[in-house]
Amino acid sequence: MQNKTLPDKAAHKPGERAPVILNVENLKTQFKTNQGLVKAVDGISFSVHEGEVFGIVGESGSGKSITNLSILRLVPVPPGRYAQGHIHFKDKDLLNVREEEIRMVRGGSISMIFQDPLTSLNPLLKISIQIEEALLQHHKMSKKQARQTAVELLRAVGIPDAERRMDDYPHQFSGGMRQRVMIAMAIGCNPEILIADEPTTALDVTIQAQILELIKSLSDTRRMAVILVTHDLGVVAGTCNTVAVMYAGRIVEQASVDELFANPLHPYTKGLLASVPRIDAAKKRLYSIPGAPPNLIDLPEGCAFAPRCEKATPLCTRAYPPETCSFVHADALGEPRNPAEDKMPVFDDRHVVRCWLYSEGSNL
Amino acid sequence: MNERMPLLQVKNLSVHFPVEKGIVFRKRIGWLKAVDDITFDVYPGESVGLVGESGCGKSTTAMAIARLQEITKGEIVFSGRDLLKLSSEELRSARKDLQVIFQDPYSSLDPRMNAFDCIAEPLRVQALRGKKADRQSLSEPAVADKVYRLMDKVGLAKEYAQRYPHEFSGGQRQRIGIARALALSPQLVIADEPVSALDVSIQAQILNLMKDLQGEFGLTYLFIAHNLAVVSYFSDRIIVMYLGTIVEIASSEELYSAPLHPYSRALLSAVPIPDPPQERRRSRTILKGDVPSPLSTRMGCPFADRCPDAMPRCQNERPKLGTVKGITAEHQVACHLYD
Repeated sequence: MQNKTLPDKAAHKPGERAPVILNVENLKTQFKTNQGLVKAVDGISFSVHEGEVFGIVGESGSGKSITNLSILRLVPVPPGRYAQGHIHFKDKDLLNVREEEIRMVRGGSISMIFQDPLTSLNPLLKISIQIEEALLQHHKMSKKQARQTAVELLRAVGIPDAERRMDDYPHQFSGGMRQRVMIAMAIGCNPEILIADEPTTALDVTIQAQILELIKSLSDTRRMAVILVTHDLGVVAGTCNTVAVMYAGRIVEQASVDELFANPLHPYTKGLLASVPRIDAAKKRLYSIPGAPPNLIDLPEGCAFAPRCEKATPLCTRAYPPETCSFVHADALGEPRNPAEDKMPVFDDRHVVRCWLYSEGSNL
Repeated sequence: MNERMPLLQVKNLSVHFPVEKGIVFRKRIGWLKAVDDITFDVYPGESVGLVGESGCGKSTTAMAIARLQEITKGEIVFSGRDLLKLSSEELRSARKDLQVIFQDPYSSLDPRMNAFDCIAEPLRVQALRGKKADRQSLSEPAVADKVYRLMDKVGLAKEYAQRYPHEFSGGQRQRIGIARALALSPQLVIADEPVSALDVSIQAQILNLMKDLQGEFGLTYLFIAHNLAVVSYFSDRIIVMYLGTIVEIASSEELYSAPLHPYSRALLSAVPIPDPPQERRRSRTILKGDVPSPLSTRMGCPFADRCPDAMPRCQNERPKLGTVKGITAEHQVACHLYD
C-alpha cells in the first residue's frame, strides 16, 4: 500500500515530446460587484506538460491567482462566474464536471499550496491529522497506514525528526517548515499537477532557496507538473521551464524561460525586466514603467497596457491585439534537467505575444 | 578612515525585551536580545543599507534610532547630540531632522486625514511649538504652498490633495508618506522597507523618486530592507545583520564582489538573479535549517550552527566586528575565519 501511494512516475524518455496534461482554453472568470463587472481573467489559454514547471508572472490584480483558483473551481460563485472557457484535464472539462468529481481532483490529482502557510493550516489540529485527512479522503487505507505514509511524506520534504514532529501544532513550526508541511500535504496523493501560488513570498530569501530547490526536485523525480505563480522574475529564471506574463487578466506573452528573458517582445515584459534591481548589475538608474496597473472594473476595449506603453498607437486603444506566434528552435523537448548542460529543458517551443507591434494587422 | 564627521553614530546599541511567563504572577524568564551591541556610523549624504532576514533586528534598530523604541543600552549620537540624553522637548526638535518612511503605506497614513493634511501635519506641529519667527513662516498659506510643492516633487497631482488614503493606490500612498517625511527638510531619513509592499513596476518608480530627492535635498538615508537586490541598488554601504548583531559592513560593490562573512555569502547566493543562464551557472550555498530563536542564549557566533565553515572556536567565542588585513578599512566583518 505504501509503495503504491508513493511511486515515482515512469521515467520519461528523452527526445520525446512530453504530453500535455492540462489545457486551459479561453478561460474567463468574472466577478459581479456593485461598481461593475470585474473581468479578473479575460480569455486566457495555456497548456501544461507533464514534468513542466510552468510559471505565471504578474503584478497584483493581474489575475494570476484567480486563474489557479479557477482550475480547481475554488472561486466563490456568486459573486464569481466562469463566463466562458474550458479546462481540460485528462478527458474531463473541470468546469463542467459534477461537484463530487471536482472534489476528488482537488488534493488528489491536482493539489495546491498557498502563499501563507500559517493561514492555510488549521491552528487547532496537529499536523498529523491534517496530513492524514487528505490521504484518508482519497485512498482506502487504515489510520495506521496513513500515519506511516504521513511520516514518510514529512521526511520526503526534509523535515528533520519527522516522527516526533507529527504531533506538533502548526505554530510550533517556523515559516519555512510550515511551507514544507503544506508541500507534504499537497504531494500526499501523488498529484499530477501541483499549483504553487506565491509559495515563497512570505519566506526569507535563504528559506526561499530551500523551498524552491525542494519543489524543483519533487517535480523532477515525480515527473509532476508545477504551476508556479510569482511576482519575482528571479524566482522564475531559476525555476520555470515556460513562463506566461499576465497583465490585467490576460496573458500578454508566453515563451520558454530562456527565450523570454533573452528576447522579450511585449513592451510590458521588457519594462518589467528592466525595472527589477539586480545584485549582479551596475547601479544604473532603474527603468520604471509609468503609471499604475489599471482598475479591472469595466476595462476599456483595446490593450490594457496601452495607457502605460511608450509605443502605443491609436490602434492599441481601439482593439485588443490578436495572438502572434513564432517558433523557437529547440532540438529536444521536455528532456529531464541536466545540471551539466547550460540549458533549461523546453516543453513548448512557441513564443506567443499579444501586441500590435508584432501583428500583421498593425498597418490597418 | 573617513575624514568627515558622521551624521549618525550608533554606539553599542542594545535593545532587549523581557520575556515573561504567567498570567497572574508574571515572572521574567529571560531576555530576547533583538539588537545586541551594534556599532556603526552614517556619514552625511550617503545611503546606508541595513539588510537581514526577518527577526535579525533591522527594524528594531531603525525604531531605536528614531527613539520610537526604548533602548536598553548604548548611545545614539545624531549631529553631535546624544539622542538618549535629550529631554522630551529637545527630542521633539531633534526629530525634525530625522524622519521615518514606513513599510506599510496602508497603515501608516491616518484614514481620516486627506493627503493635504497628512503632509501638512508635521509642518503644523512644528509651527505650533516653534519660535515666533517659525510660526510666522509656517502660517496656513505658507503651509499650503509648501504642501503643494512637496506633492509636485513626489509626483502627486495637486487635484489629489483633498482625497483620502483609501482613494490612492499603494504607490501613491507611499508617495504621500515620502512627502510627509520630507516636509520638515530632514537631514536623515530612515526608510523601513519602503518598497516591499509594492509591485515591481511601482517599486522602481519609488526607488528612483527617493534617489532623485536625495540629490535634490542632500538627504542621508538609512535604508532597511530584506531584499538584497533592492538594498544593493539603493545603498552606498551595506550593513548585514544576523540575530541582532552586525556580521559585515562593506560598500555595496565590495559586498557583492567579495563578501567575507559566510552568512553574507549564503545570503547573496540565495538572491535569485532574473537571468536564466546565469542563474543556472551559479553555485549555490543553500543554508540548512532556520534562523535560530533570538531567545536562546549563546556564547559563540550566532551563525555558528548554520555556518558551513564553523570551527570549534565559533561555538564558544563571539567574533568581534573588525577590519581584515589587505582589505579596505571600510570593510568590516565579524568572523573568526579572518582573525
